[in-house]
Amino acid sequence: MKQVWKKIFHQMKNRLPRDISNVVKDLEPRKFGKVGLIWTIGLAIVFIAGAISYTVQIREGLGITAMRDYASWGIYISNFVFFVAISLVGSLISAILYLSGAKWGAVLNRIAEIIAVSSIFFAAVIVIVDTGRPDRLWHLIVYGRLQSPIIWDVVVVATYMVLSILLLFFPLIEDMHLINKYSVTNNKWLKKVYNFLSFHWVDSPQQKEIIRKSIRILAITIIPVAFAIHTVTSWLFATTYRPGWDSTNFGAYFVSGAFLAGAACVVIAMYVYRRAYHLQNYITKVHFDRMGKLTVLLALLYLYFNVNEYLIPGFKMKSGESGHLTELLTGEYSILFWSVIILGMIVPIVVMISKKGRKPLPMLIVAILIVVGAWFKRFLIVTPTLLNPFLPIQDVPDSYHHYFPTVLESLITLGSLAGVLLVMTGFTRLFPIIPIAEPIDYEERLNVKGKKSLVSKTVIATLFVLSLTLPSKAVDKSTAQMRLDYNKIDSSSYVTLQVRTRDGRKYLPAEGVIVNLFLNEESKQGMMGNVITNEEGKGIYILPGKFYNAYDTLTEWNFIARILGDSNLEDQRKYLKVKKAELQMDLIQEDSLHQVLVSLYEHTNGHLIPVPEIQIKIFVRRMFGLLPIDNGYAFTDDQGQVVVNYPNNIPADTSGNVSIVAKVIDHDDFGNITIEQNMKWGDAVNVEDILSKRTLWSTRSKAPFWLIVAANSVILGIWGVIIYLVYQLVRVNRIGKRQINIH
Amino acid sequence: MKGKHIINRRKFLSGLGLGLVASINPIKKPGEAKNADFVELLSPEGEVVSVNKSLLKEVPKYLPHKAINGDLRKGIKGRKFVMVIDLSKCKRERKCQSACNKMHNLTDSKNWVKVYKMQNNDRSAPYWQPTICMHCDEPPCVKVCPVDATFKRQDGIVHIDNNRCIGCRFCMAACPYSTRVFNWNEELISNEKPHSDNFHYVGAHSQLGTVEKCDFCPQMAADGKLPLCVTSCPNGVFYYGDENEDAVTNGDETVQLSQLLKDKGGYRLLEDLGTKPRVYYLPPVNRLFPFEAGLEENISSDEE
Repeated sequence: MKQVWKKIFHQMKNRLPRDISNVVKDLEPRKFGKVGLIWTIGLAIVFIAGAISYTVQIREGLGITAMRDYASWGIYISNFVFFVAISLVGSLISAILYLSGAKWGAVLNRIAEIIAVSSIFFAAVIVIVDTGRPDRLWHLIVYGRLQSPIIWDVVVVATYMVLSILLLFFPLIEDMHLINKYSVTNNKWLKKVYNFLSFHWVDSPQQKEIIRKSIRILAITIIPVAFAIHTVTSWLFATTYRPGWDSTNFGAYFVSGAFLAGAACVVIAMYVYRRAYHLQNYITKVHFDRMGKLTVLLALLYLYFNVNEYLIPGFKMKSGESGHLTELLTGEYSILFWSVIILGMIVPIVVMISKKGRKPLPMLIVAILIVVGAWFKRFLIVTPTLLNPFLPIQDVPDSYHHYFPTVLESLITLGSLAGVLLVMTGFTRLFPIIPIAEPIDYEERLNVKGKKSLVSKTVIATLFVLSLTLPSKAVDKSTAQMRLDYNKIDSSSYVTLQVRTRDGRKYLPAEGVIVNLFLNEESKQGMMGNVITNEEGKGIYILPGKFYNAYDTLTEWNFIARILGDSNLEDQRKYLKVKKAELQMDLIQEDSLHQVLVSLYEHTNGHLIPVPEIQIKIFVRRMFGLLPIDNGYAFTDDQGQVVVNYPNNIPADTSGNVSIVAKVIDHDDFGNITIEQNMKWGDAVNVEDILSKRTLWSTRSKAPFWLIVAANSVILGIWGVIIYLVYQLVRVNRIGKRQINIH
Repeated sequence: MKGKHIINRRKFLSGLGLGLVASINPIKKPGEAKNADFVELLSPEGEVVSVNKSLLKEVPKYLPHKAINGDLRKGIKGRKFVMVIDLSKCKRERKCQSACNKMHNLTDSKNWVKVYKMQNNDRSAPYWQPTICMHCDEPPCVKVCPVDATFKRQDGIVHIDNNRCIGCRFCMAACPYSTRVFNWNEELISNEKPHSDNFHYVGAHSQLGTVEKCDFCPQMAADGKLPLCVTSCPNGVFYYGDENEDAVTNGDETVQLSQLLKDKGGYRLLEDLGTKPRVYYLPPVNRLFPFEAGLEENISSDEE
């Protein structure tokens, strides 16, 4: 094998046009054969089926999936994690291997990069599919919140996608030039594309130096971004409290698993390309052997992190974790869990650790096991945790307890997988999948309710049918229960009404009942007004000022409430006799002692007479009710007075005010009397201004400074490099143009 | 009428209603009540009446959309709503749940209030635990929201703007109390937008593909009313109030929050996670009802 390579190296180095043209002939993109055509059409059908299924989801909502409130993330998200994972391989092969001087990886560069580009693109697609409102994705840009790991993910995915595309196209420039020069195809359209993408390549040392340097900068830049992309993806889970996700091991665990899955994808792609395009001279058994060794190392590393991830919580079995862990280790998901561990990690290690296991066919089988295992591994990370919440799953429909993807959901997911393969296939049709120039020139390179019984239903239905057959005259008028109360707040007086009807053991409010109110006599002269009851069966009538003069001459008031000629209620009258009385409140302050003095007087012949032995209730007004401060034993003395000490532990409002209320409640003679007074007693409440705090839960405009600085410096740094690299392309182009003009 | 009265036109109109229909609403906010706060109103009979301001009911104002969102997001100034749930009184009648569902147009699969059967260990007695959104002071759901669709208000409420939500469901994964529900299907959503004239509610109604949850009923609080779960509970399990006032009310009694938590050993759910919930629980000791009274068969037989 090595001989073949040496030969090619030799030929290329000597720039023998005939030999180069042979290599180009071997590696240039070819039309699909019969198998290629079936493969492509097959993928297209699956992809279109997924796309059509998605239109159903857009119309009907995420309800078409098996996801529900507990399993709120399903195979879309696990598929997202899977795509992000395999996209890391681009950085592994074309950055890590390249920088460490492993030349053999150079041949695999473009395979790794196209896997990276297509999978990261579909990672973005599938996560959009998972959102409930894809029509609002622009909110991420307009309202994006730096505190959210989702925004981190959006930024880092976009950055990685751009870097991956650059890393795919930089080494392609010289290849484009070579194909243009030596290709035998007559496809004018393709030639135009090649010509454009060769950026006026003239093989000048200057151009070569710019590209060599740019690729080196790209390789260095993409490694931290690749680590970031999967670490941030792991943080989508690890930033929550849930058992199974709440792990400090998660970043490293995800990244190592990603490299393993990606390496296995490359192995499968290597095998397929090698067979389909007869590339045995380029992708040699040596490459399989080396990829095998690399994959064993990655599998061992991933197994190590798995041991950490499950053994340590399993050793302690904390109450929150135990349900989740037993479900994985011995419960519902145990078969899947152990299959993934054994078939996706242990078996591959055992096979590939021997030299025989690293031959193309065993490598292919083992790589398929790893990739399938990796996909299910993502599912095991995402969904079982969600089905093991802190509070038990109760009070929800049965379907909320389990998750098994629906047909449409599966089709959409399969469609995205087909999409990745379709992009790879399409790329291969247009561009050389094996780098032509790279190996030569750059040698150093290379995620209810209880049902009513049938009987009661039948009874209700029968009654309903019967009620329809009965003539309307049979509607009996029911007897209303009327309550009439007199209230006095400070010096305003009003009358409250409540009208109810009885239904078995329950009272029902009577709404819309007209009640006539009279004072002293049921005549036109005594008519005060009408009250219509509200939905609670209540009504209120405020005594108009014109009566006040008349009241002053009276010592008692006789109110009459009347329901007359109501269509549903029998006629009824309610009488209420009220003696005129008034409350007075004095707020006494002696040093630190605060006292409330309340006096009750009765109006008798124009004189105010103290009323003894009446219970007075004293309260402090709070937002939703009255807080009692009188201990329940406040009865007026001979002077009609009550004194209550005001407690010193009652917060005032922001201006230091408290509102103190004294009441006579439901007294037979006096009705309800209320008096209320404000006082600057108590400390002004210091309302904490939480809206101006900079915290992780604050709004986007209040992100913590450290986060703004850290995030922006990282983003500016990486994007600065990207802009610099794009500028290098412009330089290459300019140099080429200049040279062409000279000749 | 003179200029002064024209300014009060809204109050005047509602006052006009008062004589006829107005519900009893004598609740004043502290600091607003003054002794001689009287307004003169025209009664339906054409009489001028002098009325204490505390009797007036504000007519909900319709505000343009932008202003609405601003208020929805900032919350009610000076308030810090808090709830106490007394487990010793819960019989699992689920009146809280049905009242909440009715008011918010929720179906049974989307309960904002859930009543759990809890048992701390094999030897301890089971009990019923009503659970709503905890409105945490360190809300994990708000931390992770990418678009500020869910947010913490100054009155302590964790609210959702359903016009903003993109439906990523990260908040659902982040919430350790499993309180958030998602609108999976369109048919579950009623066309009626409850309280759509109330600014605390706009943008907070059910929408396909968005997340929702218990909102602590700010539209009720703005009117000085208690949430429906509180008022509908026949056993007075729920206490609601303003932490700044150190008082909570279950509809019947108003008690001092600090005293209640001290006397009855109040605690919060999953305290060790550091989420600082605004909902407190009182342990199920000296229970009003036996646990068995809440079992399905006993509840249904009770109703017949």
